[in-house]
Amino acid sequence: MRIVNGRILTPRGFVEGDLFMENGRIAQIGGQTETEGPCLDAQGGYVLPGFVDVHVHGAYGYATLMGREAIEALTARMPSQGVTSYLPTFAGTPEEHRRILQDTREAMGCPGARIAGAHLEGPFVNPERNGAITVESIRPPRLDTLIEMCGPDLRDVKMMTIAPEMEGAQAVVEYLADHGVVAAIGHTTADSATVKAAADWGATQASHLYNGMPPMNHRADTTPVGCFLDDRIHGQIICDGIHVNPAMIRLAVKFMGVGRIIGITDAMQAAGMPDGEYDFLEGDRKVTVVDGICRLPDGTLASSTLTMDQAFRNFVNVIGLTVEEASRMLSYNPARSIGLMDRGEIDVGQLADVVVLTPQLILTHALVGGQVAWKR
Amino acid sequence: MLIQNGSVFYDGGFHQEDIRIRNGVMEEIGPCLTAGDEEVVDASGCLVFAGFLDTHIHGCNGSECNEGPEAVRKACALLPNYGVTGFIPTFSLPDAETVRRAVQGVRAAKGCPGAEVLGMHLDSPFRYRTIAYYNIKVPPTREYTLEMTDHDLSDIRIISCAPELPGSMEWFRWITDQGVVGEVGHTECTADQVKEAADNGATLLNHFYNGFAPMDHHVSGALAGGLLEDRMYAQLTCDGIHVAEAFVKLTVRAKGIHRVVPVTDCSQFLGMPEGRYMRRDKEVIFKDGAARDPNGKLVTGAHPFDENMRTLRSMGFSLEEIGTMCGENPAKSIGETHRGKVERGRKGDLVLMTSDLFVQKTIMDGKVVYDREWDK
Repeated sequence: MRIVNGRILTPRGFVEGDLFMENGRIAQIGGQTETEGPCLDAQGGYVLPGFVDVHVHGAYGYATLMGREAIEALTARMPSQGVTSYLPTFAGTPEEHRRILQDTREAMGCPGARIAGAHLEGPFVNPERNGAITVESIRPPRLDTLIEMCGPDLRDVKMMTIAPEMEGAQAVVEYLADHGVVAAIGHTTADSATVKAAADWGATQASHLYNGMPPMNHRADTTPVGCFLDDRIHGQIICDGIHVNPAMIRLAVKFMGVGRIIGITDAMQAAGMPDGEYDFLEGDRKVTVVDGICRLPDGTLASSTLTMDQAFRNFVNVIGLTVEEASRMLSYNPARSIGLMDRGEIDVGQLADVVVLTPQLILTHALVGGQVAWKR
Repeated sequence: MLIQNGSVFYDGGFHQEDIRIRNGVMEEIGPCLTAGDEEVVDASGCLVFAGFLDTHIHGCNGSECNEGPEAVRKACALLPNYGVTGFIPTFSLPDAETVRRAVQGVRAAKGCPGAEVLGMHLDSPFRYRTIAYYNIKVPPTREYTLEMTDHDLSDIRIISCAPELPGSMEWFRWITDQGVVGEVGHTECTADQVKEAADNGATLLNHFYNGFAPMDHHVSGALAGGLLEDRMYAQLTCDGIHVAEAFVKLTVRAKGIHRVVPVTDCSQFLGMPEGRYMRRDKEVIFKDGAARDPNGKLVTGAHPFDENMRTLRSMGFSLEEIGTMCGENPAKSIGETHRGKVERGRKGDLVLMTSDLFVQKTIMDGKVVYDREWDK
């Protein structure tokens, strides 16, 4: 497969020329390739690494909590927002976590985007900052509960959102870190000393930074400040303009640097769907979506309807980042943050997971393993 | 005067050098200077800083600088005890006439002994706070500015203004042209308006966090704007009460060590016993080092400059960082080039401190004006 007439973003900057892919991997960047076989004309648009979403609960009417078939249907549709790898994310009781993790494992390898593993958003979170997670599903952090949910093999668990201030969190965070699972600080009231302690134990990420945390206040020492003061923590940001004001996103970028911001959608099944009422499976509730904003009956923001291609446009057009910076936050940073070294940038030998966008940043194609998985 | 064997701070580090002061000016700085027939001060074991400049101080020891020349003389006499050799009397007053009388009082005290008056700081004539101490909103104009100052801006150093007030941008351009520092403060403006103020010449943020709408990650606020704006210095009341330790660190991280200006914001309560007081027409309760109104709102600082340096030390800042912030940044923030740094040709004002930042001696124009021994 070749992509011609594109502006290819590589680790060494933009390259004009052809992108040649072979055996599912990037084979040659730039120059002319005279090969038989399929060819895609980027028509002067951007050729970027595919997006990687480490925090997404659903879209297109499908929620991870619906089980295997829904996860497979979701996976098939994810390339339509430029996502080539993602972590199906779910919250719920330990039993729900166990069941949906099993469904995720079984869905891995299905057509569409790559399922890189699962993100368990709970159940070891703080009921004081539960957000849209039901308090009833929350459990104190315990290793035996973790193993009950995940079994002894944690390879397919890539991330867990956990509140480090909860008693017992240290053992769980250390266990996760030891087993290559990203411990993401979230739904938490941790102060900066607790964030630092969590980073010492091995936590490396903040789950949807600013959201599910006590607000910033100059008289108090709250979680966002702790995350900003510790260079080991990467910050997930929901860039829909609703969860976090653009000025506060710019501030997070200033504090953490372009290299430590991870764009996520945190989307639920209403993403890519019209406004209306949707089932919010966790806790068996209803969510009302108005102007793309999801709220529970009590007004709590519950997930988003953001898509990764829209997040990309928001980072560039609203936040004012360059295409290179936005790409880094939506592809390279999330991939590397969960230890995926074979994707997230366009370089020889990397997986041929690529998106094509017009100069106006409208997604036209998504390729997974060098095959067109979606086109406009 | 020759100051020997001290550890002299300038340009971000301590230097084992001697300083010769002649005719009130630092004439020679270097290692192992030979004493002539001048007075020799042995600074062995001491840190040597340029005399400190407090750019935001309302008063001390039972009186405020707006009360007339006697109050100013009192402040001048007392401040060298804390290492302060220059200060900017600061007024937060409700109308042009009271400001005008305060300005006249300071002018009448001109040339009195002790710490030097470096001009005046009009703290909040053009404020916009919906929860303000004085809930007034006066739009900034040349006429009002000249009325407050008796048509003489020559000794007015800083004037603050809320950028959301009508006419503020034109006013910032004008006041900057007059050689006065345009300062953003007592405001509820947006991040963009802070940037616009900087575009129009504003270079300083008035006691940052205090007098600003609190941070909110759903809102584009002045605090986010101030942290994002690299062109502006931020005054910071470093008493550990006005701004939480984590936020002091965050501010230094966002703005860099060269853009944070510690101030005392102190008032009549400095040096006074705790209890109930009347400050102008408002009741103030001074307790546990904090001066609050009956609702618990902080109204002013009460800690001396050197104590705030020790507070910064206890927060974990290095002596070099404290030297930069407290010793050199205040002068830079007001464009002062003759004081506020150990440098050949600058005024011979020095502070000798112990390694734990207690003032040993304060020197002005090559004469000892305070010696800790005198207190014993």
